[in-house]
Amino acid sequence: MKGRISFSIKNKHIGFKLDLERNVTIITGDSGTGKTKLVNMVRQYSEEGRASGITLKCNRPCIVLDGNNWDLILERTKGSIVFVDESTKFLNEYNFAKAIIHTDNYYVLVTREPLPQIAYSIDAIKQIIKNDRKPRIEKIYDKLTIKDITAAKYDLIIVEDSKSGFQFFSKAAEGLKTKCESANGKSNILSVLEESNEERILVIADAAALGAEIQRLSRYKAISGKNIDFFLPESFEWLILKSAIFDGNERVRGILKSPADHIESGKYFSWEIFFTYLLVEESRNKEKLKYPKGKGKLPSGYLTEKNMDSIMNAMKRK
Amino acid sequence: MLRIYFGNLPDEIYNTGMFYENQYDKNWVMDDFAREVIRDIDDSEVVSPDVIKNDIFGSFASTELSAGVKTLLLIRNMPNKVFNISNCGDNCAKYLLRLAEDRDIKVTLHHAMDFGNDFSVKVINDRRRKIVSDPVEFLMLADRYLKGEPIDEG
Repeated sequence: MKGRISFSIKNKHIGFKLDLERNVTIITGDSGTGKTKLVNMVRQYSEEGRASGITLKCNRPCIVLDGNNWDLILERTKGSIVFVDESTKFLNEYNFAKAIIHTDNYYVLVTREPLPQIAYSIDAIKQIIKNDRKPRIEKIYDKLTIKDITAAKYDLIIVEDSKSGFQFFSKAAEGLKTKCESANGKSNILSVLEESNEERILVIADAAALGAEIQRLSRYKAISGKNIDFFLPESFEWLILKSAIFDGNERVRGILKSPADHIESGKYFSWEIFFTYLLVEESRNKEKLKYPKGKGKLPSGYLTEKNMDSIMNAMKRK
Repeated sequence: MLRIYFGNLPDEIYNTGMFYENQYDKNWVMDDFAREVIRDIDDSEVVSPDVIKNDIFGSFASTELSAGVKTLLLIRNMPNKVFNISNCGDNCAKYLLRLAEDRDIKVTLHHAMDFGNDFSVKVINDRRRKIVSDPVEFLMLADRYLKGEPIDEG
C-alpha cells in the first residue's frame, strides 16, 4: 500500500480528520482529547456502516483490531487502515510488531507507550488538539530539527549511527573542530547525552525510525539544563539523495518530492530502508560514490570538500 | 507515595477502561475529587450519580469518560489494585500524585510520564525503593526500563 490517504469521520456531535502517508501513525497526548472516541466511532462504523449514524470518508476500508484473534484477523486484512486503541494488550508485544511488518495496511496506533519494537518516524507522531466539535490532529515534533549544523558552535556531536553516517559526520566535525562520538544505536542516545559533560551538544539521528525515542529525548532537552540541538534528516541516505550530488537525477527528485507515492509499505516498513535501497541503486554506476548495501564503509567520493558541503546543506533545500 | 513499576506486572490491570466498565459504582463520580478531574480533564460536569454532561455530547454515563479519568477514579476507589497509569495523559499526573499523598499506591507505567518539576515517587523495579524527586533521574530510569530495539525487517 502506498500514497497519501485522507480519512475523516463524524457524527452529530464531533468530527475528526486525519491524513496518513506512512504505514504507522501514532496518536498520543493528554487524556480527554477524544482518542478513544475516535477509535470507537471507527469500530461502530465498521460494524454497522452508515446505519451507525456515523459518516466515514476514506478510500480504504477502516477497521479496529482487538481481541484474542487479532493475528487471524490481521492475516485476512489487506489494503486497509487498521486502528488499535490504547489498552489493547498485544500493542506492546513483539508478536504484534512482527506481524505488521510486510503487511499491506496502514496502522493508526493510539498509545503513549514508546513501542521500541516498531520502527516509526517522529513525523508520524500526532496529538489531538481540543477545538470544540472539530478537534485538530497535529504533528507533535515537526519543528524539532535544525536545518543547518554549521550555524552554531557545538562542544560535542553525538551521532546515532556507527557506520557510514558516523564516518561522514566525524569527518565534518573535524572541520568544525568539534568532538564527535557514536551512540551505537538510537536507544543509547539518551544515556550518552546524560553522561556527557559538554554544554552545547548536537544530536544527529534518522528521523525515520526515531519515533520510540523522541518523547524522552525532547523531554531531556527541556529539563536537563544542557543546550541541545537535534539534526534529524529522514535518514543519512535521504540526506545524500537530497543533496546537489543527485541534482541531475529525475527519478530521485521525483521520489523525494512525494515519498509516500513511491514507497510500498508492504515492502519497506521504514522509509529509512527504502532510501538506503534507492541510494544503493542510484549510485551503482557512479565511480567513488557506489554506496554499500550494508552501509559499512562510506565511499571516498562522499568525503570530498564539495560533496560534504552539498550533503551538509541538503536539509536547507526545498 | 506513588510506587511505580516500569513495564508489565502479572497482577496489573492493563486495560483500565474495560475494568472500569465492569466494576464501577455510579456514586464514584459524586465526590469533590471526581467532580474536579471530570471538569478539568474531560470538560464535563457531574449532574447526578452516573450522569455527566458537557456542551458537545449532552448527557452521558460515566463509562464514556476518558480512560485517564476512569483510571483516576479506579485508583481512588480501589487503591489496593495495581492499575496501568499509561492510560493517563500528563494532564492526569498532578491528580495521581494527590491520590498518593497520604497512602502508598502501586501502579505500572509503560511510558515516561511528565510529573513536572516538583514531585516525589518511588520506582520499584529491581527491588529498588529509592525516592525519586529529580525529573532527569526519573527520565533516565524510564529510559532504562522501557528501551528496546526494533524488529529487523529482514
